[in-house]
Amino acid sequence: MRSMPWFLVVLLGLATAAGCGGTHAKRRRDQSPESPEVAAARAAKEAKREAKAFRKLEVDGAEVIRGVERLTAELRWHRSLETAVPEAQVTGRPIVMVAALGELDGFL
Amino acid sequence: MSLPRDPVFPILRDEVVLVWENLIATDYVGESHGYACNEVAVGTTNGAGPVNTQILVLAADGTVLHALPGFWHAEDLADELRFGLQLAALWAAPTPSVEVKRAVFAQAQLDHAAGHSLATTARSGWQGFDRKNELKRLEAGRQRDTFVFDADRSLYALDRRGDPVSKPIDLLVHERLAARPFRPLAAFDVAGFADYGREYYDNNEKVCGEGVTFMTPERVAKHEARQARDAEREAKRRAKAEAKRRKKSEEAARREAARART
Repeated sequence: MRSMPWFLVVLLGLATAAGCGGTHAKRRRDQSPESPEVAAARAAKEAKREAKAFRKLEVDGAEVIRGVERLTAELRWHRSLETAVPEAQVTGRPIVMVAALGELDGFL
Repeated sequence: MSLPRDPVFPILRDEVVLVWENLIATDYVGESHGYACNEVAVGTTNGAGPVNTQILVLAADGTVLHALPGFWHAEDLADELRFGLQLAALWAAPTPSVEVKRAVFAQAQLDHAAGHSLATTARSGWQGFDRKNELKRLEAGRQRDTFVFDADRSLYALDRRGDPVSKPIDLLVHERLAARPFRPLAAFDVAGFADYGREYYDNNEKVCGEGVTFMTPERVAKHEARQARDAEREAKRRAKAEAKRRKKSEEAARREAARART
């Protein structure tokens, strides 16, 4: 049997080693956990993307009406702090005062 | 938009006493565009429209426990309301002393801001027009707490373009609250607390374009005076144009008569 030239054997060996090494390296990269910096940067990017999407959100009029109805039908709103204070004293609950330009069930 | 949503709604229903106050008569309120409740609502950033909306958490004795200017995302609003409830418990507790409670309040505000999630901070960015207005005020030589300082607090931190870095609004709000620990409502300067960005706010304009423009009585008076001035100026302009036209036609008639004579 004729033997292969020595340089061909070396080249084949190197190519095999490089191929296997590359596969192993890739596998290592895929399995290795992200560095904390990379993970943080990725999470920040994701948060920004979601915030941007939320800014583009449009809620249609029917849903807005449902929301307003929920607020007006299921919650009791005082029209002044003076009437809310006695209830807060009796119940021990704090007061949440929503001060806004407009009316809850009108133009807002 | 956030109030009827969970997780905000159960807190409003079960844990607090609610007051709705229309700000139309207050002097610090900005101009705004209003929408009927059957019109499209849009998402925005935390703290947007600060002078036109504020949510205050108050103790029964009128002490301000927590305050949020402008719009807040439902998740963030619920988190802040729960924080307000914790502060309510602190204020109502028999100990420690009021001085210690105030110190705890200030630190708790800063700690709370430091613990905000990435999502909350991302939702608390600046809108272009608000940031632009803040930059204008900074260029006019006014000290603004709306920008991030360098480590030695002598200069504003700069971004890659050399512009001052805006402070996220969630942090700004908590820092401003830390400087107003357990203040009585009468001594809580809502106007100063909510003073950032632009006065006029209408994020819906491009979407809907309907609605009404809210104006304070002073602005209504100014608007009417301006309209009257404009109408007077327009009447003068028309009278002048009419006189000019009449003079022209008289001259033409004179020229015509002279030509007929010759």
